[in-house]
Amino acid sequence: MKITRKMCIVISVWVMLLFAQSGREILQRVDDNTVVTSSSYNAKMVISLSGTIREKRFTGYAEGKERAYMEFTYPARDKGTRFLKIEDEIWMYLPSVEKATKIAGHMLRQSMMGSDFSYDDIVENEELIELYDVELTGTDSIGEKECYVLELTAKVLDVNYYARKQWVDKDDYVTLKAELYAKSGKLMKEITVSEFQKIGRYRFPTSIRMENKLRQNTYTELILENIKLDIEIPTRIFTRAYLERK
Amino acid sequence: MQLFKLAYRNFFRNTRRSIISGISVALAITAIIFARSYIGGILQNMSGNVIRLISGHITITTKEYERRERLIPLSESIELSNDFYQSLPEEDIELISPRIKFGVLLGEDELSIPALGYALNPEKERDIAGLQKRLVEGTYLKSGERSAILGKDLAERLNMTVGDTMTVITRTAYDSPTGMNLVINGTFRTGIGGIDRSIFYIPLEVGQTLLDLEGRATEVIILVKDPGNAIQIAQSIRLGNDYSIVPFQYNNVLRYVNLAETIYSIFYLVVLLVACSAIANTMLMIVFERTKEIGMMKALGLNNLSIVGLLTIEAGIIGLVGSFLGTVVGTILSYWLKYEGIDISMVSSTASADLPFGPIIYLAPTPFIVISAFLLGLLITIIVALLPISRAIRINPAKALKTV
Repeated sequence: MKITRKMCIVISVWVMLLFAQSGREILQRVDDNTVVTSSSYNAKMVISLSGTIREKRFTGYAEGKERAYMEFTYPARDKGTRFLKIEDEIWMYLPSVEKATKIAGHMLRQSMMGSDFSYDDIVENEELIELYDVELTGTDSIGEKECYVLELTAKVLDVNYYARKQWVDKDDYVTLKAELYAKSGKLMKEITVSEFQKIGRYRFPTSIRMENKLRQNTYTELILENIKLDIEIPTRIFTRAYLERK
Repeated sequence: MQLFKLAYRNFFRNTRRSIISGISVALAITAIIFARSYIGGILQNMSGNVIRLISGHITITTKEYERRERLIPLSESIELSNDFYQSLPEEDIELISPRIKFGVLLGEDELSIPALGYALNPEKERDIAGLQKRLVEGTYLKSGERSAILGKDLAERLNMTVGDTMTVITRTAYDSPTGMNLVINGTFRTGIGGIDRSIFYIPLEVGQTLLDLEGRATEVIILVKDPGNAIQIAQSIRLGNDYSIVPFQYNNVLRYVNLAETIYSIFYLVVLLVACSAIANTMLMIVFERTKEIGMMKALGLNNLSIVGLLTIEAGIIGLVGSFLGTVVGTILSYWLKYEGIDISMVSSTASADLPFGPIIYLAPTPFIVISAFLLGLLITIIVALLPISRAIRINPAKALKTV
């Protein structure tokens, strides 16, 4: 009897350890699929706010987690608006002002161009496994896809969202849905990814829907096209001079 | 009449004590007249500033804008269409001025100084906000010109002066980043810290372009011919359920200030009661000192009512003299400061833009304040004195006559 109980405990602990390890493994595979060394793309942002739909287009470049560049091309009002991220700083260039301005820390978490994405959301390219402790809490299904459900809790202070709940496709190891939480436990944003593109070793999300739960009747769809990954990007793109070029 | 004569004589039996009691009442009455006039002055000052700089006599916004006003939601704007203007009762209105309030972060390289911009019609607002009179340097705004006038302290915080170009970065009504370079035409000083430190004004059309609000405004300020009728006029405006039409009497700031006035009234009463305790003390001493005398008067047939009457008249004389003196001094002081004013620029320089007062408070005494303070002084003196006086009724003549 005693042996059976001991065995049960050992098996439970072993199963828990196995799951904990699996959680990390799953997240590592998700990171491997989406965190790229460099990228360039054309993006279309469809912003829906209280029934009004607006479309914006921009071109983006990113290198590692520290350098990113975006330039808006549509609509006419936003054409020429550029953003440059270098390490922890984001600079914005408005053609009407003809000079770059640094966006202060707290503004990075504000809506970018009126969308449900924040500046930080758009330029984020960091391995989640470096930022969060992960726990595999179960399985679920989204549509016809079977998913692992991961719960992530921040292990470093400097994260955009304290906790995340991610639904990861069991076959492809991509995040199909994520809920992003504040430290208070309040749901802040919900992401659903409906399309992926296989590029090299990556399964890169190309159609992302973000809902800012702190606003009402709003969502933004981000559609990425002409994606090029792990490419050589001229270093001049990630400079203030390029940002402020006439 | 006999009692009056007696009370009058008694007043001088211990002149020093009577004078001290009278002075304490006089000081309280002076303080009350001064304080009420001062608070009235602050109220007038603040009402004037709220009407000129914030609300006009009537403010029209959308209901949603009003609900989320602290967030300055530019998306909740009013279309300045012909229909809108036609729905306003022209005959009662002196002036209609649309405004857009917007938040910005200013700074040379890094946006770090929060400020509040107002886009308004320079010609119309010349008199409403009195901005032109408050310029300390430079020139006033011109319609359509990409220029700004800044609070003097804001200009200093930005390290800028007239002729410099200020870059304004903000968000459009659709939340896109937007910016504009504006030439600083002038700087102004209102004496209200919150305004001088953080507010700038630009022409309406420039603001509409900057914020993607062509033909629109977030609030419409109305000045009416008869401010006393602002409530009725506001009620007569028919714009539909999406609009909020608020006369200045219902302005939140002014409502809180009025509430404060009620609280102050209780404070005045406490001050007066404390001052009158000197009278109570005096009367108590009189009753103790004159126990034998009161006993004698009773023994000679003076009834209780007459004794109470005598002592009450005595207290009344002190109250009357004190209240009169206090009223004279308080009135002279308040009416003098009504014209001279009190410089509170040290305090007003820290006042917020939401609670705009200062920098010079002109007292606002009224005949009502003066007369009511005088009567209140007299009344409270008598009421407070009645308690010790009532001891005199209980004096037994036989025992009293035996006292040393």
